[in-house]
Amino acid sequence: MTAVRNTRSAISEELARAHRQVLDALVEGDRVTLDQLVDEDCDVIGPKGFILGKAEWIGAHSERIYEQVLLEVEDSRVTMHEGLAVRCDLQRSECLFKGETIAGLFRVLSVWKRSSTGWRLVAIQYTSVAPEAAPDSDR
Amino acid sequence: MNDLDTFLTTWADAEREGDATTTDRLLTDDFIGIGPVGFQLPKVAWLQRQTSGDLHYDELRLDEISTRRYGECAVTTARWNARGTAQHHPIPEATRLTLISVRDHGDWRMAGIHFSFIAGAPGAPGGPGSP
Repeated sequence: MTAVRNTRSAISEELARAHRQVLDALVEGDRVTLDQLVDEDCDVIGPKGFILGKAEWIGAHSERIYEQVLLEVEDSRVTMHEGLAVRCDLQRSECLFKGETIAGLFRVLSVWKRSSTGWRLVAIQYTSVAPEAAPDSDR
Repeated sequence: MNDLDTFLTTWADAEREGDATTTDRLLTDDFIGIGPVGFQLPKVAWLQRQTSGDLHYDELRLDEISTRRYGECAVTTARWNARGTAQHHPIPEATRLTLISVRDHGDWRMAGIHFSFIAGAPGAPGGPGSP
């Protein structure tokens, strides 16, 4: 039982590490790390409902079209399903886009698959949190 | 129910009809739903949307469906076209969603759903964020 618990803990730590690396890479515009951790087929749905592919999403960050200044996880929930992990995060984000500072709270769903080389992001979706859905401290 | 397309159709029909009994059967116990405003609802709260009578659909249709399979799991993106009301307010006519489906003892169940408004669609607010 202890061995199973230790394995689960190690898997959770691997996932948390991969997730943190993606967040850091988004802030730093680190194309190499994003290319390693984002699956070729990854679909990205932004808070305005548009779908981006891997290349477009990474390019927007690495070419600083979308300059991520801050990305902090305030709350997180992870469920595991047969080699797939689903994270539901509450993230505080600040970025520069076309000369405009955009800041706010977002619900972020990210789906990860485990491969021989570690966890890779296969889908991610962002939703802007309206005041009525924000934690009390943000209203 | 083994076929994923049939599963998604059955689930969408149950959602449209406000059929909480069928929805209860189709969702995993650890289901989580994120609505387009950013509320995060566990299964019980998701079902209460249906049993409370606050949510009513005149029309609901999934379009632009794209699914990727990962073993016993599937990730689907789609456009959700709907007409109806929530607490007597019109619901947005189009949202984008990601659905997480998992096989449980041979049957598909939904483990998660996440909605976002589509900018420019009727009922969508202006808000922060990139595309």
